[in-house]
Formats: sequence, C-alpha cells, structure tokens
Amino acid sequence: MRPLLLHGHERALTKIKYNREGDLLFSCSKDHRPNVWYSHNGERLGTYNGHVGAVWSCDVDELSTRLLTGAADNTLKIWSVHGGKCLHTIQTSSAVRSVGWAMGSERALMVTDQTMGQNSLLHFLETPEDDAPSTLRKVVVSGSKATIAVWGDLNRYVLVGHDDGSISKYDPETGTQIVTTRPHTGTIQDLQLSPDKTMFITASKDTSSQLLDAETLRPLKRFQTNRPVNAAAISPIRNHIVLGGGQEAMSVTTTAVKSGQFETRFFHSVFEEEIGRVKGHFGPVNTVAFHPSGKSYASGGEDGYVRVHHLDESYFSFRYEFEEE
Amino acid sequence: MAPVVDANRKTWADEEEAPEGAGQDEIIEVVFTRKNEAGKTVKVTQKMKRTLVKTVTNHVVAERKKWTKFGDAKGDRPGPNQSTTVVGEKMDLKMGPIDVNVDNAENEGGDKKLNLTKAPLKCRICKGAHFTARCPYKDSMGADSESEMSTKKPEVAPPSEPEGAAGRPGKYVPPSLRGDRAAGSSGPAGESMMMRPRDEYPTLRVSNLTEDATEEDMSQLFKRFGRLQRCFVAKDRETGLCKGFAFISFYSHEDAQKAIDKVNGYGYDNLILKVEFAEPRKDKP
Repeated sequence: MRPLLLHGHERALTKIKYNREGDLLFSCSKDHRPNVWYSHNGERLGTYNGHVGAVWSCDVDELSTRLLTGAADNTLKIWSVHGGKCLHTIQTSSAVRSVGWAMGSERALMVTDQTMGQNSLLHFLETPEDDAPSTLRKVVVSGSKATIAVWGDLNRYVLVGHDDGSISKYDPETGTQIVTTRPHTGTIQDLQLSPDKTMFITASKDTSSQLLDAETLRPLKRFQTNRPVNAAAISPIRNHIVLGGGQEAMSVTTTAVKSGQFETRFFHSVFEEEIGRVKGHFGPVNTVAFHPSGKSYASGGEDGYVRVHHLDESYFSFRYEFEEE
Repeated sequence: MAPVVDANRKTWADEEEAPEGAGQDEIIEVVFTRKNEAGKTVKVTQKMKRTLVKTVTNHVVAERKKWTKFGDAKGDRPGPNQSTTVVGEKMDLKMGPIDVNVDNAENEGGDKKLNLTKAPLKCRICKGAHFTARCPYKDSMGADSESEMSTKKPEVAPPSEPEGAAGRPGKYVPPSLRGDRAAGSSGPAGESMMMRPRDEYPTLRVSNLTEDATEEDMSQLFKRFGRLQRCFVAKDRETGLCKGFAFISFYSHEDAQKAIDKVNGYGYDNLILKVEFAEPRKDKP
C-alpha cells in the first residue's frame, strides 16, 4: 500500500470529508483555505479562498454542489463546490466549531463556541438551494459546551457531543434536548454515524472510543487505546473501526517519538480487538474518513498532510478463522 | 524536447480513433521525425502496446472529472501536481490480532536481549563463567589451548596465516578477512554489521515440512499463538519449493513456548511437524 500524500495545507488539518460518491475529498485546516481533491489520484481540484481564520469544520451536500465551512473568523460560508465561489456568508458572534447538512440539504446546522461571554449555541438554518440561508432557531446548549453536532436519521434528531464527554440528542423541530448520557470523561473530538445511521462512533480525549446506538444512546462497544483519540470512522463494508489520535500537539515536543503513537489503528468492531496499524504521520492524527466504498480511507494530521490509503488485497482477505466470507 | 513530445502525442491520438475493438491488446507503431543534437532530421519508429481497460463509472463522477481547476489550483495541468501530491513510501498494514502486551514486550526487548547473551557466557580457556579476556589463567593456559588448536588442524593454521592471527588480540585484521570469520559462510564480508542479531527474538525451527509449504501457510499456522516478528521458509534456489524447514520468530518467549507445545508433533500435510527452539548461530567453529 503506497499512500498518497496531499500537501495542500500549511497548518494542522481539522476535518476531512468524502462526498457521497467518494470521488471528491474535502479537507480543511487551520490555514484559511479548504481544499478539494480527486480521491483516486490525489489531484487537487481547487481551493476555497475567503476565510480569514482557522477552518474548523466542513461538510458537502449529497449532490456535491454546495460546501459548508465553519471557521474561527466567526463565519459560516456556503460555497459552490465547482468553481470555489462563496455563495453566502453568515456572521456569528463566536467561532464556528462544527457544521453539517441535513438529509436533503434543505436544512443545515452549526455549533458556535462558548467564548467571549457567548454561550455555546446550536444554530438550525434553512438553506434553500436558490436563495439566501436564514436562521430558523438558535438553541443554547445546556451543560457543557458543544464540540460537534451531526444530523441523525431522517433529520428526526441531532446528536451533539460535549466538552465533558457527554452526548445528547436534540429535537431539531423544537430545539429541546431529548436525552443525554455521559459515556466518556474527556472531550468528544469526533462523532461519525455508520452508513445506515443506526449507530455512531465517538472519539474522546479520555483515550477511548465507543460505538453507541443512535436511537437510545446505549453504549454498544468500547475501544480502548493508550493515547487521546481525535478521530474515529466506521468502515462501510467490514466490521472495522479506524481510530486516529496521538499525543496532544502541545505535549509532543516533550515526549519521546516512540511514545507519541501517531499511528492510525484498525479495530474489529465486534471483538473490540486491535487488528492493524498504519504509521505515517509525524504528529497526531486529527481526522479520519472512510471512502464510501470502504476500499480506501484518508487521514489528516497535525503535520499538515492528508494521507489517502487505498487498501491492499491483504486487508480485504483478512478474516478471523470463524468469520464467514 | 517539448515539441517532440507533442508530435508524439498527436500521432498517438490520431491512431486512437482508427482501430476499434479489434482486439484487447494491440501493438501500435508510431513513426515520427525529429531533429537530433546535430540538427539532422531523423525518423523514429516507436512500438507500443495498447491494452483496452474498461471501467464503469457513476455518471456524475465522470462529469466531475471534467471540471476545471479553481482557487490555488487554477491553471494546474491535468493530473496530480507534484508540489501538492506525492506518492508516499510503501506502508505495511499487517492484519491480525495485535496483542496489547506487544507494546510492553517491545520496550522490554532490551532486557530480554541481555538474558539471552547472559546464558552462554563461558571462558574459552578455563571454561569458567567470565569473558575470555578476563581469564586469570590467560597467560598460563592461553598458549596451551592455542597449541591444542594447531595440533587439531595443523593444515589450516600455519603460524603466518592471518586467520590464525585474528584470534589474538591487538593485531589488525582487514575487514575482508574479519567478515568471513564473524559471519561464517552465510554472507559476504562486512554484512554482519548491517544485520540485526537474529537471536534477539525467540525463534523456532520447524522441520519436516512438505515442499508446498509457504510463508503464508506458516504465518497462518503460527500467528494464533502471538505476534510474529519474522517468518522464513527455506526455499530451494532453483525450484522455489520449500526445503523442508522454516524459522519462526515471536516477540515473546511465552508465545514461542506455547507454539512448541501445540504444534510439535502436529500433523500437517501428511507429515508430522517437528518444532523446537532454533539453536543460536555458532560464531566460532
């Protein structure tokens, strides 16, 4: 397996995302320009220039026509995927931490940070395709500040990850909290739904990752590592989980290279057992994403590189002895 | 050179439309002229093989492949730009249960290595448990043992031969001769410097294998006992078939012992396997 190294960013990666077909890969970083790449050969298609702060999150709609980005310059921007033109900008009062399209792309969601006396807010937006977006509802996040939010199945609920390790479920129609649990003791760094949206995986700074049921928030599986987990993704075709993480960037210079553990790790999602490791990044892995076909995955690190791995035949032929074909 | 390449492309492109579906593989002959260094026009004939590869792509994906580049990538030529896209080094993803203890075992590797080297410590002169150089009888008995050696193999060790001198301390021996002694007959001189000591990990010797045994078979058989450090099947140089034995290195001694207990005497491809700890390689004859 020879990974493709995409070096379009000058600073740490914050989020990478494949589009629905998986032919495009979007990456955003603490430098101000999100990039889009062809995932099969790593060719850069373009950049979205316009933000003036670290871009924390991005999301592409199902038709791959519009891109949402949220940045530390207190703006959310909607871009035309082809051409890189900024279609709309929404000004907020604090940094935008997380953004997401609802199914059907007529609604969107963003999370703003709790800074400068501002509360952490969930913004629900109406985003008609041919008109300017408007804010439907702003919800003050109760308890610990929100770090990430994703839309659930059929837009019936929104899953929110919090700074203290709790996960809660909000009703997008009323803005009320339905249920909340606290499976982790550290910040929720990542939250990704399985392709069928029945369960989701969390990545937490408390060095573990958990698989939870999306309806009941019941913990299903737990994957323990020995370093903070920054990102987690579920394989669309195998019972595998991929975790990215490593020593926190601020403590990297004071620890030995070997104990940094910047590998991406594969776990079996049923047996909770580690089954493979991929080295490569020179810093913690901040974000991982699986290709929708499950045949490749990408990771983005603090070192500013995105590494796209097209998995080998040996990966697909691996099975436990008792596993069926 | 650039125009030459262009001319080449053009003829190739023209050819592409002419034959259709004749065969999957075809040889195309391209003839073009170019000027050589002396300024003379030369005719160049190139033969190339063309293989038709058909792929089915999603319509929207095919549509998106035609998009023009924008932003910072504006004006980039088709294909990956070298400044942003690099093909990385080969990465191994070995799939298999990873023992959590491996992390610890690797850290403790140094201690284990010590234990291994401690075991066979034996003075060559008086057979005591110390280094030969520290032997209290070095002066009195040293000569004896040397004369003993020379009586054993009188034809190999005439006093003037440099090989005999290597045993004595303080004399310079060229690396070409040194390497031969240290590495035995296994490799060229000096190679021993590059190689990691093989005895670092507990290694099993598996014998009575069939000719068909491969490294994959062996790793399949042994990886259930623990993570493998190395899996080597001795193969015949000409035929590429197994010579009947293999070496399997584990990370931990316990795993290796477990493997011996389970697999020694185990029937494998009609033969009864024999599994034992490999003897450490002998440095001295």
